[in-house]
Amino acid sequence: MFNFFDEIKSKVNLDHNLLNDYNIINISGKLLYVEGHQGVTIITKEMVAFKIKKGRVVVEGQDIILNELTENTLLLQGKITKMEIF
Amino acid sequence: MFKNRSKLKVKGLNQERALNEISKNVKVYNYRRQEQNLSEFEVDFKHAKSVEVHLENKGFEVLMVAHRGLFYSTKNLLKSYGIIAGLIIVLAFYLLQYNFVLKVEVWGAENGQIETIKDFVEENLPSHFKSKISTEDLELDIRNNFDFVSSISVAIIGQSLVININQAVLPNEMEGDFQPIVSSYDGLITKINLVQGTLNVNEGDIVRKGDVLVYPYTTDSDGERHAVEAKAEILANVWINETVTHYDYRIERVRTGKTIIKNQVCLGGLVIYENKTEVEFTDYDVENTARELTKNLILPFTLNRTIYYEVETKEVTENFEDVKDEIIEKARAKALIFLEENDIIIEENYTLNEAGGCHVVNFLLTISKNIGG
Repeated sequence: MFNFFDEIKSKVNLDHNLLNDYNIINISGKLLYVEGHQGVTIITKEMVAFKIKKGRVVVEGQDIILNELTENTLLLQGKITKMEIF
Repeated sequence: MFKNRSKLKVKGLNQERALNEISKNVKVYNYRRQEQNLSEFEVDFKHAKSVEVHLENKGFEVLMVAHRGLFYSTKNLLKSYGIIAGLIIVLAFYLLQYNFVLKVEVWGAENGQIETIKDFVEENLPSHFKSKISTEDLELDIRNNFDFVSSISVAIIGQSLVININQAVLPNEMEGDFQPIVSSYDGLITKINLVQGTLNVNEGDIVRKGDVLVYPYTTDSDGERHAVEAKAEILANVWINETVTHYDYRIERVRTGKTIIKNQVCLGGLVIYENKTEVEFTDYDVENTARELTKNLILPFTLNRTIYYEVETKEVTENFEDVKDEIIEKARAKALIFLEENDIIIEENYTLNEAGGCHVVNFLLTISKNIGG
């Protein structure tokens, strides 16, 4: 089955095992899709933070809604202005 | 509408932790943080109860649980016993009243007769319950009680009792309203072909307009009269007389050919435009015409046209002998106007009378025509 992330990963000459932690895709600054998160830590209108393997991600913006949340995926909707990985 | 989801409003601290626990088994949608300790989110309808219990076990206060979606609406409707009971009552009432005839319709009769038949049916219906109405009996009853009914069919359509009748057409003999044949012309009877009735004239008789030709009865050997419709073919020579008068010296008023036209454009009764041309003629005829300029009622513009024809009087001296044929033909044409289809011209002649420059042409047309009924 076609997988968008696998398709991108196949184009680079890197060890695929190193690329399996998480996937994040930002669509036009309006949607942020995350695969491989390990739990949400903060949710406000201006900021969402979640854990990933070996770190944390902080997303900042305005009017952020957690549109969909499952055990390892999440979809954020809103005006996304900044994303930092720690 | 078709997404069966439940919205939960939750109050409590550290909601992220609970959310992570819930998301392990249940998909969470549209999570919004309203305040520091207040948020709302959606889950699938089927997981709503378990999520609610889970949150309460974790010490959260579930302020609101609202369901939406087709499944929930259907389920909710099925639990609305009042509505269901109402629908059942309505259905039962409908089924019950459907067994009754509520209206009587009569087709094929005149207005007065319709009401009479309706009243008769209402009085004679054994019941308004459909199964107790015998349409055959009703047909018989109506036919026996109303002479003007020739054939009838009664049917129950929906909740209407439909009575379709054909009216009896009585022959003229039974109606008893007969008129004699009366002459419409002055003439000489030449041929009679009596079909029925009693003759009042013979061949060779001269009749005047309004004379009775055939009476509408017959007399039997006992001397009794029986009314019949008078029918006969009666041919007669009828005279049509027309005159034309000619004066050798006369004064005529004729148009010179000069005209003056005045136009007025009006909106309703209000004059919008007018050309004020002076009428310089001393003697004239006037003709008025009005024409609608628009075909709508919003702006009803009309054009009123007045035409002034200049006329003059002149003395005419015309010898009769010069125009004799023309005058005779004019008199003949006037007589021919009265000729009808199937009339046969038997003879044409004219007489001339002259007195002091005044000539009268008297044209006589003798025709043969059927003056009987």
